[in-house]
This record gives sequence, structure tokens and C-alpha cells, in this order.
Amino acid sequence: MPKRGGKATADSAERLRRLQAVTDAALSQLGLEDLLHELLERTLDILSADSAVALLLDQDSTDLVATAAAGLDQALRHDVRVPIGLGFAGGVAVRGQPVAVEHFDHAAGVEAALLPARIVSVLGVPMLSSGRVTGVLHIGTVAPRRFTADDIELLQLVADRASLATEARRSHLDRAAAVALQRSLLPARPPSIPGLDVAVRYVPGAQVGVGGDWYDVFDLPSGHVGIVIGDVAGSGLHAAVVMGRIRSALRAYAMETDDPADVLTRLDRKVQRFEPDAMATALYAVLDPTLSTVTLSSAGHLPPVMTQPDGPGRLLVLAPDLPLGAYRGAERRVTQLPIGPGEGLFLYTDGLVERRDQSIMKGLQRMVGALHPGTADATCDAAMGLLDGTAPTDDVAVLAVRRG
Amino acid sequence: MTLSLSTTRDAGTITVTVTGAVDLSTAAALDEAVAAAVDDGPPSVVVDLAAVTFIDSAGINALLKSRRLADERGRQFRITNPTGIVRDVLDLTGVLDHLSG
Repeated sequence: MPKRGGKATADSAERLRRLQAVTDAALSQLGLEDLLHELLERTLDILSADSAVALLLDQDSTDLVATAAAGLDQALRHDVRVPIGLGFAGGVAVRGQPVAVEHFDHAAGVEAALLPARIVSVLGVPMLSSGRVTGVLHIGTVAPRRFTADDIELLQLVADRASLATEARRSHLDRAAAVALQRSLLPARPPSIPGLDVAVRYVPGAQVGVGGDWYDVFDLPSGHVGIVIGDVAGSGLHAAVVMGRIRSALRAYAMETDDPADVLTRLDRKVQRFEPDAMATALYAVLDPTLSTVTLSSAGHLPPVMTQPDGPGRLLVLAPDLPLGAYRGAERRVTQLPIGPGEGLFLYTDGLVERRDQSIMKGLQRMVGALHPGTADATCDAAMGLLDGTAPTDDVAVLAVRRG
Repeated sequence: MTLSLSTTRDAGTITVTVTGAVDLSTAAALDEAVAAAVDDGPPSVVVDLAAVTFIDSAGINALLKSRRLADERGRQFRITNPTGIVRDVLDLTGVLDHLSG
């Protein structure tokens, strides 16, 4: 590998060769902490250092969390946190540049567990991903040492490798966790409710994977039945986690009142208070205990379809109110409709009907036309048929209920 | 699909002109552009959607967030010229009036 400044020596060439031995193939079976630990062990060897620590930025991006260490007297105390901007590591993170200190001042003491008093010289480099600092790697020596440009370059190379591995593993773990969460929250088999035929489908998006779409059906102590479809903005693990919280909050409020506008108002208040960055659309419908009347309230959600026993569906253009989290004190209304025997509701998220190459109106018409009379399961199948066998860009959730 | 954004300033108003598709992959850019406009401190921020060809829920959320941010900072916020498919989606999801100021 050519070296910056063209001053590669036999020594640094050999060190580089040894670093290259730290291949992803050899390490791919290790968990993240073990992988970082192995990288650090090799770094100690390559750079003749006495301590090496990897700190990763936490989820809130406020602290660096020590995740792996090598060469220190005692095993790394887990959960050592260094706030961004404080201590040595915190300073490297803020500058986003390598920092070398020949005589480290231990007086500040923010990170004594990571840089014991014996350590005299330290060198730290940022871990970067797409130009953003995601962590810090630092090494220390007991003997005073002036780190060379070669040392800095090598440590930066290790940090780049650590950063790549960390990102890859994080996104893999995030995806796996999001899928597991989604599965636990969206049962493929909805609860059975006497007199009501219920079916559901969920398809992850090609672009976003698992997202924040959800459906829910539950019976209430009052004998009413709650039916929900919703879409939390965003994608991946974060959207799935927020969806989980919003979904269970809605269930909790549904236990307290049978008025869907009231439930959505309380839910909106909760979202604005505790999820200030979240936004979600949701449609909440409540069937009365005889299953003959439905009361609906929409928080910015696309219109539901009334399915009929003897013809195509009918789009229910309700007056939707603002999405959850959009505006403090948004007004919420309800629409009440009778449901006859064999009639039902079909609810969906926008991924089902939104296409770049056609207007939303055409998408809605096409959907309504496709929902022929049949069981709830057949209705869901017909809806999935609209996706033409290709994975939609956005995730899609649909729910059909039909009165027996 | 690409999105292009340009910002013009006129007396008390900053206008962010949006061209292209506002979707999951581009909504963040719109979000940032409008947030920057709001931070700039004009009494009024206008987002011109005349040249927007497509908007999905991520795009709508970006607009709602912009309006929320403007409210918090005590600025006026409104969208102008939503046409065709964009207008339909905003109307169907009940946010058109709210965003039009």
C-alpha cells in the first residue's frame, strides 16, 4: 500500500502487513466486543503500546461508551462513559482529528479507568462513518513517546477498520432486532372475535426493511371491538420501537373510552409529551358490541374502504384530522356508519397505493376495484395482488374485518 | 429520484423552492433546508411545492415538522402551489389546510 509522503520504511511496511492480517474473514464470527478486543490486541502489538481502548458513541450521541480495551491492568470496567467534549476521548470526538499527547495530564480524572496514572503518552483517533464521528480509539504508553506520522496513520487505519465492522454489525443487529420486534407486535394470526372475520398482512419494504407500520385488533371490556392501522414515520429499529410504544399506549387508552376521537386525542398528547420527535398517522375504528355500527377517527391516515358482500368496495372519505405528533391540541372528529351483514372494513398503509408513476387517486381507485366480495383473507390476498409480486419500496400493513 | 432545493430571501420572507420527489430518501434534505430557513430568523417561511412531482408520508412528515418548528420559533409557515398528485395526497391525509397556513 503506498504511504502518504512516500516515506514507507521496511518497518512500517511490516506493521501494515500485520494489520492487514486483521481481516474481516477471520473476525466475522466474533461478536462486536470480541472483534474490537481482538483488533485492539493486535494494535498493541503493531504499535508497541501498553493500553488500547475503543469507545463508541451511544444512541443519544451524548456520551462515548468504552466498549473494548486491551493491555490495561484490570479488565475494562464496562459502562465507563465519557461525555463528548470531556476528557481525552471526548476531545478527540469533538475535534474529529487525531490527537497525540506526549505527557498526558491525569489531573482532570474523567477517564482514570481508561487511562491509568502509569500511562504517560497517549494517541487518539476518531472512528468515522460517512464523515460523522462514531467513536474514538486511543492507545497509551508507559514510557514517554512522541508519536510519529506513521503511528497516527496506522492507528487511523485500525479505527477505519473498527468503524466499518461496527457499522456493519450494528445495522445487522438493528435489522434483526427490528424484525423480531415487529413479529412480536404484529401477530400473523389475529385474535378470534365471535361474529367477526379478521385477516391481516405485513410486508417489509424493499428500501426500508421493517418500518413503523402496524395493525391491531382487540376486544374491549365494554364489548366493543377496536381496530387500528397506523404508520410511524421513519424506518428500521427506531421506528419499530416507537411504533411498539404508540401501539400499546393506544390499547391502554382504548380501555378507558369507546370514543375513538377521545382515544386519539389522549394518544396525541402522550406522543407530543414523550415522543417529541415522532410523527404517526393512525386510523382507529370502534365497532359496537352488536358489530352493526362503526365509529371511526382518522389522524391523517388514508381513507379506509367499506367492503360489500355483493360488489366492489367503497372508499370512505372521512374528514381526517392531523397526524399524531403534528400539532398541539389538534381537533379530532368521528364518523359513524352502519355495517350490514357481510360488509366490512379494509384498512391499509400508504405503501399499498403510492406509486411514483401514477396519481394517488388512481392508486386508490385501483385498490377499491380490486377488493371484490369475499372473506377477510381473500380481501387481504387481493390487496397483496396490487403489489404485483414485487416488494414495495415502503413497508405495507393491511387489515380486513368482515361482519359475519 | 432526486430533490433539489433553492432558497430565496425577500424582505420578511424566505422561500424554499422544492423540485423533484419528496420521499423517504430525500425528506431529510427538505427538513434541513426548511429548518435552516427558520433558523435564519425571517418572520415568514414559505415552501413552494409547484415543482414537486411526488410526495409520500415521509415528505408530509417533513412538512409537518417544519410547520411545528416554525410555530415553536414564532414564525409564520405555509406551503404554496401544491399541484396534482401532491395536492391530492395532502388533501386526503387532512393536512392541506394546516400546511397552507
